[in-house]
Amino acid sequence: MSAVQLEEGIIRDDTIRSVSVGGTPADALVSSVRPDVKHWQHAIDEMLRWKSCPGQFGVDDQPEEAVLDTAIDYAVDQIEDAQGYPAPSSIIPSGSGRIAMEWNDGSFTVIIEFVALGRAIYTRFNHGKVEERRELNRNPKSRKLEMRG
Amino acid sequence: MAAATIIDVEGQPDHAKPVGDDERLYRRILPGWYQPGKTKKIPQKAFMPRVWKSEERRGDFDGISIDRAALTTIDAASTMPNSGKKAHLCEFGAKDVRRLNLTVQPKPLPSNPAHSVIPELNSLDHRDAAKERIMEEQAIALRDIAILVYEAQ
Repeated sequence: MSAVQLEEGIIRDDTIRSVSVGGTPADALVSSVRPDVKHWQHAIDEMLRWKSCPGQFGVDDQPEEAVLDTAIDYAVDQIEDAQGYPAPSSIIPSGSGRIAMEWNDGSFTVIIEFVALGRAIYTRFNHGKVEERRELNRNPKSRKLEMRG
Repeated sequence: MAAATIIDVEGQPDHAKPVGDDERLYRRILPGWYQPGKTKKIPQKAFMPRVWKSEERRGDFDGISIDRAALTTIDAASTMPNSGKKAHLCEFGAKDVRRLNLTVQPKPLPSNPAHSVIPELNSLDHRDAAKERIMEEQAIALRDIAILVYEAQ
């Protein structure tokens, strides 16, 4: 199983996990002392703000609520999991209701674009070339986002 | 920075004239979340077209929008047309775009004479896996040459 060293953690290409927390405040979920947890918290706060204040982006760029829920669930899971992934370098609305998280480390760029409820696309670049591109879908049993294929 | 040259084509207004190699171009980047304490790297998705969702929401079907720096200002180019709010703004050269086998096409709007597009980065090709892969790589290359010139608060 291949793995890519990214920032202070590892972005693995096996399983991208997610949990549903039903609106639980992110702060209450912090049980880790990982240094990047506070960054995840800030990112969640920002996405919650996008959710509660629609209209700050144009109609073509406003993230869809289902997409935001999926991205927030994913972020919360990273906080909860002691082996969770490091916080991304950036999170932006990527247009047409989507959200993209991006990690950068040296020649590597990893992007997870959340495209619908329980669906995301993982793309890993090395030296500007696409090395891997796979779809992530929520497994209804585990409720995790998992890679297909 | 040297003043950009708008190619002089007789009888055409500046905004309809072809984009010169030494022209600078602006691209708005939606304000999002950036990890504090890290060098702010322009996200690759800032250079990808909005996707085609339906006939009503066709995304950037004619290419991603850019502005010709010679025909606008940083203040105007960084203002989102619908909301009037500020976005981040990055800049890059027309010559750099062409080196990536992309083109720049003037597409002036009544409200924005500087408006142009990069037609190869469009939502129609986004539906074709092979073309999408090329666009993804061109978008990475574009973001690597782009410079952030305005940061929205």
